[in-house]
Amino acid sequence: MKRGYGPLLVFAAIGLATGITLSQIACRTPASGPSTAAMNTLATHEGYELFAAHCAPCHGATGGGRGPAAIALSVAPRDFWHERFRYVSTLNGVPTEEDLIQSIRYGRRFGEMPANPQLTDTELRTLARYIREIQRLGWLDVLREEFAGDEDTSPDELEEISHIRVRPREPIHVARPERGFRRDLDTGRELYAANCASCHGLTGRGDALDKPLDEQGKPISVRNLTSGEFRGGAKVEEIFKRIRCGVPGTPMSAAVALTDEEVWQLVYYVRYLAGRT
Amino acid sequence: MKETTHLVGVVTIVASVCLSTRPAIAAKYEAIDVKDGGTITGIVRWEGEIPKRHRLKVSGADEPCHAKPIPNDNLVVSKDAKVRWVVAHIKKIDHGKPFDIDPDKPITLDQKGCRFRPHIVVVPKDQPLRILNSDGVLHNVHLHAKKNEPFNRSMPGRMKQLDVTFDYSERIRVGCDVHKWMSGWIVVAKHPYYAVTGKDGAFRLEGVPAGNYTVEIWHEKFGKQQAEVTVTPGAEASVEFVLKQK
Repeated sequence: MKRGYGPLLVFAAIGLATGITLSQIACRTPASGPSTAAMNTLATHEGYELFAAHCAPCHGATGGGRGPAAIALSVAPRDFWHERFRYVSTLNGVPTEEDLIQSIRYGRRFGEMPANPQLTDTELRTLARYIREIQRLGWLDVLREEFAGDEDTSPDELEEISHIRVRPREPIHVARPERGFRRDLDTGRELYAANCASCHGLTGRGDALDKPLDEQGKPISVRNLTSGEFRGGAKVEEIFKRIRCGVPGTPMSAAVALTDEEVWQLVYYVRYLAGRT
Repeated sequence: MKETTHLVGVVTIVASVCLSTRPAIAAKYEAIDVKDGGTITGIVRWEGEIPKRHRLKVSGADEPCHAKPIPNDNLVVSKDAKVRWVVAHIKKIDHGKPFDIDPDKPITLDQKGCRFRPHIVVVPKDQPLRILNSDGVLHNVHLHAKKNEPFNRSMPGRMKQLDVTFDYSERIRVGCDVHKWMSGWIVVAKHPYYAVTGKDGAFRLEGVPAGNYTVEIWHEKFGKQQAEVTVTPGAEASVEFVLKQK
């Protein structure tokens, strides 16, 4: 796709509106930002212009999470180069295309990510693929840095690994509880104490971990479950996914040891903590 | 990476999932019958004042798990200046003895006393690593892998073991966010010529085909060093490394 001046104009307009100049925007690029080779690859992607128009104001021109509008946000935009996607429906921590599309289309309640009802299905799909490519190239940059000069690792191997690392596994099957299932607060409380309370606290206020960090080493807060702020969605199916698949890039681990029925008991107990039925 | 989960006690689930396709492009290692191989013996010495081994700062719930003081494993130097927990391996070796894999004796990494034991475990690529939870409290096994799949799984007290298989050779830091002082390393080996130094700071690589090699050591605080060594049939070649405070 031929690139025009559209993205630049969008930035200039936002810059003028927010009092930030283009040179300041350039300075916001992280020191450990994407390599030139990675940026050149992205510039030829069909999602480039869509991203510049709809995502770059917050996520930055390179997708590094430092767009000109980011300073006004209470929740930092995702750095697609270095951070993993949080809301997934797979057990390998990689979002499906549908996971990505859902995040873009509906946004994230309780976060700053807005909904984008104006985008067509085709545009959403193109954006989802573009964002996944940013993530792949970001991973490749990390691999190249980590294994620079390692004679036991070939460049081809790293390229191949970068593709594998952003490939989602089959999404988990979230079936409503079977007939005969009975919500039981005592069972839920017991499961919660054994599996969740070490981090979220016995009362659910998210106060049990001492200075938790994300995988980038940045301070992170454990969700206060009594607040009712379910960023991944408050529907029971979404809470089920967060428990079963974990939240990649954070201390929240995947609960692979629980049966479906146990996860459902936890889902309803967590909603109970939030004052929902 | 493949993963198998065993729950012992309340419920037992065995799940085996193929997490990725096999790499089409990877450096090959060919297993051969090594006749008249030699041995590389090595030692890692410490130069300067012997560092004190600090106790880790622990806090939070699960006190019985960390009731005893937990020593720091990230720099262990003996009174006679030998360095423990150093990984040694031969670089760029493309043929040699086969992996000595015994499925009945799985390689294990235990979470015991809110500490990873051993601190560093070497596991061959494609062989399951059995992660144990002897503590009976909730741990989360958080693998910060780069080549292999990043991995963060809950291991509640009733879950006694979790098998993980790795596709790529690399060093992976393993931690537990619930007990964040817990830290260990998984070294995924692409050939059998890997070793970790013990209390005596020594390592031994046996059955090495005659030839010239580069031996590399790695320590989590001091990084890598290399040395050239020549192996002759039936003989021992020795190599020495020195670490010192930066």
